[in-house]
Amino acid sequence: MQSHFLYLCFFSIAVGTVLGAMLRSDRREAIRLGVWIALGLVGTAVALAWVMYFLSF
Amino acid sequence: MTASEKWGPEASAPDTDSSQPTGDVVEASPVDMIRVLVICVLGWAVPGLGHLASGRILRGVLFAMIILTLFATGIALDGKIYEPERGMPLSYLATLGSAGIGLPYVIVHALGIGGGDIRSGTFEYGNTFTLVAGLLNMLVIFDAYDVALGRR
Repeated sequence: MQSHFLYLCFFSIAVGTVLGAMLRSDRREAIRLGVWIALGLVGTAVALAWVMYFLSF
Repeated sequence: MTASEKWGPEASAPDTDSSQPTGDVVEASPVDMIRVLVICVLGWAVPGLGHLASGRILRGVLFAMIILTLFATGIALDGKIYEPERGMPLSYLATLGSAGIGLPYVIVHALGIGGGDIRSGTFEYGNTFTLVAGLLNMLVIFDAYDVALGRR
C-alpha cells in the first residue's frame, strides 16, 4: 500500500498521541491536544502541498 | 478535575490542589538519583519502560505501543537506520536521533536489517518514521525523568 496521505495521517496521529499524553496530565486535555497536533500536522502538510503546487521551480 | 480523568497512579490520589505540579525544584537524595538514572536507562532501552518502572502503566504501554509501531513501520517501509558516515557531519546527528529508540536500534543493526532501499518509493517515509521514533523516545525519557523525580 502506497498512500502518501495515509502515511501522513498515521505519522500525525502517532506524534499527536505521544505529545498529548506527555504534555497533559488530564486525560481529556491530553486527547484534545493530541487531536489538535495531529490535525495541525495534516493541515499544514496539505496547505504546504497546495502552495508548492502553484510554485514552479 | 475528577479522579477518573487523570493518568496513572495519581488517578487514585485525593483530588486536592496539592496533587498539582507546583514547578518547585525537587531535591533528590543520591539513592533517589540512582533510581532515576536506572529509570532513564530503562526508558532508553525499551520505549515506555521508564514510565512502567515509575508506576505509570497506561502511559508506559501507550508510549511503547506507538513508538515501537512507528519504528517497525519505518523499517517495513524500507527506511534505513542511520549510522555515522565519515565526511557527512549530519549523519552523526541522525545517528543520535535514531539511536534514541534504544535496544530496537541495536537489534535491527545486529540482524543486519534496516539498511534501507533508496529505490523504494517509501524510503524517505521510512527514514522519517525511524528517526522520529528515536526522537520521540528521547522526549519520553525526559518525561520519565520528571516523573521519577516527582515533578509530574
